[in-house]
Amino acid sequence: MSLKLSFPRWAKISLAVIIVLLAVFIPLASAFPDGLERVAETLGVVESEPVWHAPIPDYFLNIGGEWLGTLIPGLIGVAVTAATIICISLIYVKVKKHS
Amino acid sequence: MHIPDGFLDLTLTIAMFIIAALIWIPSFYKANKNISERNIPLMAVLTAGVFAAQMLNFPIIGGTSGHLIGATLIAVLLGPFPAVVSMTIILLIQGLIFGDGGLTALGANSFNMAMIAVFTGFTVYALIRRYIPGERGILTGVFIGSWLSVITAALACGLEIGLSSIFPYGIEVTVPAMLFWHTIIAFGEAIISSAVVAVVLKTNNELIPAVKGLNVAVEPPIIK
Repeated sequence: MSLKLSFPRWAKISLAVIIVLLAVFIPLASAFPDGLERVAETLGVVESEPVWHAPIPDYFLNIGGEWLGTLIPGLIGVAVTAATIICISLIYVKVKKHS
Repeated sequence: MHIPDGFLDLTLTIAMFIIAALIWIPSFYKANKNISERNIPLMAVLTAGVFAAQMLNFPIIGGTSGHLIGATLIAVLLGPFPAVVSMTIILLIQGLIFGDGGLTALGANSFNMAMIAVFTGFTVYALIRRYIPGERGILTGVFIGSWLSVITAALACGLEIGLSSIFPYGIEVTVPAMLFWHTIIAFGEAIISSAVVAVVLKTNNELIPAVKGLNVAVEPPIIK
């Protein structure tokens, strides 16, 4: 059994559109607290220290300013997410072929 | 709506992981039916797109913002069970790499955004499509389904933090507060989700699978 994983043109275009939209909207994104953060803030509840120290906290890397510092983590996230989904889906497909 | 570490007490943390596991197991199993070689690119692109969209907060009123959850959007295009898989992966990556959402709250966050939001959004969408035919039914279903998916997720989140003994306020405070902000944020979810589906309908309407019971038709979509 061989797996043929091909990325059709529409998938590449969609991925490019996602990256362009991300790059365009990063400077426009709101830095205001989100719904839950706002509720916690209003009630005076502060977040405790996280149990895990994430390598790129708050989607920001201190390189090349605000825009690039957010875009690069965004691209890393997009790549890791897509790669993880591909790996998991391939496991699904392989298991299905075996059964 | 990502709950950080330190909002939920030990009992709730464990309870939410158990509840989530009881939904994860059958959902990951049932996703098998929907995931095929042909829709791997769709699932990858869609999940990555929702990840990116979750980074982009839109301002609402009163110095507050919101962002897309995307649960309904993924469920409409891939089916609710693969949507549970996709949303869980997003939450896991957000927690592990970006510190968004506490890892101790992963059970609760998954329950709210990868389960409650997915199943509310999809059920409402499926019901509406049954009564309104054609593209109008699809778009109305996505709009109302995604709006309600945020409301139910916010309700669940409000209940969780309100019931937690280490959160200083009870559900009589947390639930109305969560619902107040998310009633507005949910419109952002509804507008973005239905706009994306409208674009998909315009470019390739066969990409929107038919609804079959509480799942989408298993045949992979034909992508031109």
